Amino acid sequence: MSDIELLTRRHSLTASRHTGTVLAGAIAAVLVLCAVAPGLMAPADPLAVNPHDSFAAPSIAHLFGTDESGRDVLSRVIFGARDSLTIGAAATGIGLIGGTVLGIIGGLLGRWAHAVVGRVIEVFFAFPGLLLALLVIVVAGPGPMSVIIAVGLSTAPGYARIIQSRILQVRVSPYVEAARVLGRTPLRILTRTIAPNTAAPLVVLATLGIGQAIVWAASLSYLGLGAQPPSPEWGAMLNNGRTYLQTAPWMTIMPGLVILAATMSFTVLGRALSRRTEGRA
Amino acid sequence: MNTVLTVDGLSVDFGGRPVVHDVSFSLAAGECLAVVGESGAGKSVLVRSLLGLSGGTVAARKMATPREDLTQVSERRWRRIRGSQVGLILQDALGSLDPLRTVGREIDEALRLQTRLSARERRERAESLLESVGLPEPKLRLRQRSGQLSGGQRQRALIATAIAADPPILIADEPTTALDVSTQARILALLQDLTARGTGLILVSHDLAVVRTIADRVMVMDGGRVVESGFADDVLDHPRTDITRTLLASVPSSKPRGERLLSHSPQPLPVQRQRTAAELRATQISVSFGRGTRRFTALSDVSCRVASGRTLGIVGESGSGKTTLARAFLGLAPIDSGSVTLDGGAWANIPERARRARRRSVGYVTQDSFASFDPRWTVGRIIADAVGRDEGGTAPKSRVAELLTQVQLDNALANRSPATLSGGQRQRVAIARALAGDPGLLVLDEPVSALDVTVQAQILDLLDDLQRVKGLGYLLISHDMGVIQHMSDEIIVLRNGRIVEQGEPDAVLSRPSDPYTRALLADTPQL
Repeated sequence: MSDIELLTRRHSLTASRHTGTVLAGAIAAVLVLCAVAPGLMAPADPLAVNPHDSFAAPSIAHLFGTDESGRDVLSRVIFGARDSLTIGAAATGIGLIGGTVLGIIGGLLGRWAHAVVGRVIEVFFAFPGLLLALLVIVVAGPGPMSVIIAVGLSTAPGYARIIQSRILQVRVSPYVEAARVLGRTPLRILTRTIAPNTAAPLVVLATLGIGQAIVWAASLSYLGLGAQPPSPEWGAMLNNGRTYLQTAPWMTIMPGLVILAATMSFTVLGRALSRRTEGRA
Repeated sequence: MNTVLTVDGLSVDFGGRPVVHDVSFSLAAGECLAVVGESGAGKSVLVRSLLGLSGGTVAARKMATPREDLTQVSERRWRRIRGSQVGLILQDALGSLDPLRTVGREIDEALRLQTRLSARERRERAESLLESVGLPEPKLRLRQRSGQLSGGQRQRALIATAIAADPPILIADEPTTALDVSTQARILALLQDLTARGTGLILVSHDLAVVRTIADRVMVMDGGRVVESGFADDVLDHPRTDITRTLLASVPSSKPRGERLLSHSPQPLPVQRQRTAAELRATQISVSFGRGTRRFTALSDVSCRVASGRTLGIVGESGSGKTTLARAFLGLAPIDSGSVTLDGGAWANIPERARRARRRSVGYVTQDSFASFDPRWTVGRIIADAVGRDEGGTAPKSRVAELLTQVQLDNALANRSPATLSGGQRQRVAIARALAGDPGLLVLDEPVSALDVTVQAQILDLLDDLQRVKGLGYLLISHDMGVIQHMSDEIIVLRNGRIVEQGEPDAVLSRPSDPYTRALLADTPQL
């Protein structure tokens, strides 16, 4: 992210910022396409073993090289996009839903609910996020589903706090008062005014959150707690390549670069979105 | 007289766009030069360029103090000049003082940068400075932060930092705009004191009444050029340009009730809608906030009445309970005792459900209307939402157009976001929204105090026209006696939540019975 910032600063002004956003959008679009139809994008079967072709360096035939069993790394990365993006998006979804429920309870149901939700959020905040995720996996057992729940639950408190404070802020805003003076019912004020004004920043948060969730999911898989081999998940691929880092660095570097590109593109998109909404809020 | 500043042929442009064009003037010691004009006339950019703060490209044949040529100054050198040779006082004292630093440290820093005094001498000087700007208990003030001071006290503290190093030139950019009249009068007296002691003062203001009070000479700007200049009395009594005449006509106290301020404002369409007479009546209401020892009485024993076709003007300094009264009339603030009735039916302290259907008969316009618009909505949506579905006959779209026409806004604005509108346009949108339910009464809480005098005059004219055409009743709140005087059929002077004066404008203005009213009138600058 800071690299992008440096780049944009060097080229100066909005033109290159715009280019960055377009580039990020293109990367994200390609990744989503990979996730939806990996068969169309990948040059080979990600699970096809070919012992004669193991540890081949990147070449025209294998752009990202091959791994210890001669599997095409590029194809594995492409097929891995589905797992990684699904985990990232689903985890963010769970985080948002959990956060929204907590935030609405804390923001709308009065002083007691506010106090209780506030304490709950603080308890969650006391644990480092990844530790919390590890805890969930220890309880639920390793696997992609556990990773989704783990990452989702550990990001929920952050969302909850933002949503709660946003609701509190919107609730006392002059435009909500203006709606009251116009004789609007509480339900209408909630659905037409408070909800949309709370939800708008959420879109931004979610886009930023997906990037973060992808990294977390990859971290957990790297530790062997997520997707299990031979499934081509990015974190798991990193872990697999670790053993051959000296002889076949592409096995680690290539999936690593893709994780970086995915995270960066979603983050850049999120920041572009937030810049757009800031102008209006 | 000694000239402390000479400017000849000063121009400032931003990327090729000229904002100040060929301005020349000189300033003598002990003189007050007022720079007046509408917003966007280039006043602020002009005075900021005298401090090297304009942010644009500055070119001048001459710009110099007796000690220094200001056209050839490095940024490093500017930092020495600011404060020691040219001091600056801004409108927004809250924004100009660091909230985390004590007043003492602010002044001390100015002294440390500009003088060679020792720490002890600086402390003594800071104390005497605060005393000289009329802040009581200077020792205590030195230890306070800007948040602990009132608006007037903050402005004084800011002036103290500006004059700490005794600069021969002082620039005051709208120094009293955010203050109520009594505080404004004290700050103006302080500025007069400084000029009497020999400081050359450049005062930027759009309020000609203020200018009349303290300026020796006046320079009228429009579109970055000086269109008229001369001695204050000459310019204000015998204006030679339309710009100056418009500025003069905009001062609300210049015309009696019912007369338009600006003759050239367009007339509204005579849209007539029959409506039965409406009336809001407050009988001996009291309102308080908090409980126990922190209980604070905002209004006590207030009785008044707003009725169709008439304007009830409420005036008073900040904290006098004006807005609480408005909120009680809107059914937004629960009252402790007394009663509020709308058209004879109970209005305060009833369930919101019982009020909701009748809410359409009372419109509301606030000072900061921008904040009262849903930030995601366009102008058209804001008004259409207020029109609602239960509007029999006319479709919302044509009704929105009709409302925009009534407030003299172009229909094309319906697709714009309020963020892209000017302050006056936003206020018109707020009025259109308030009119959407076809109310008989409007509560106007400082509807024009955030605006320039000319824009203020346009909005006041609009409100006046609407009242005549639709027979609206207004509850008008303002801290500006001039606005109240120009608009009201009945005036209430509030102080600390009590009515100290109530009656016809003539009676209140010419024979005020209460000492506070007399002081308020004496503090109001007259043209």
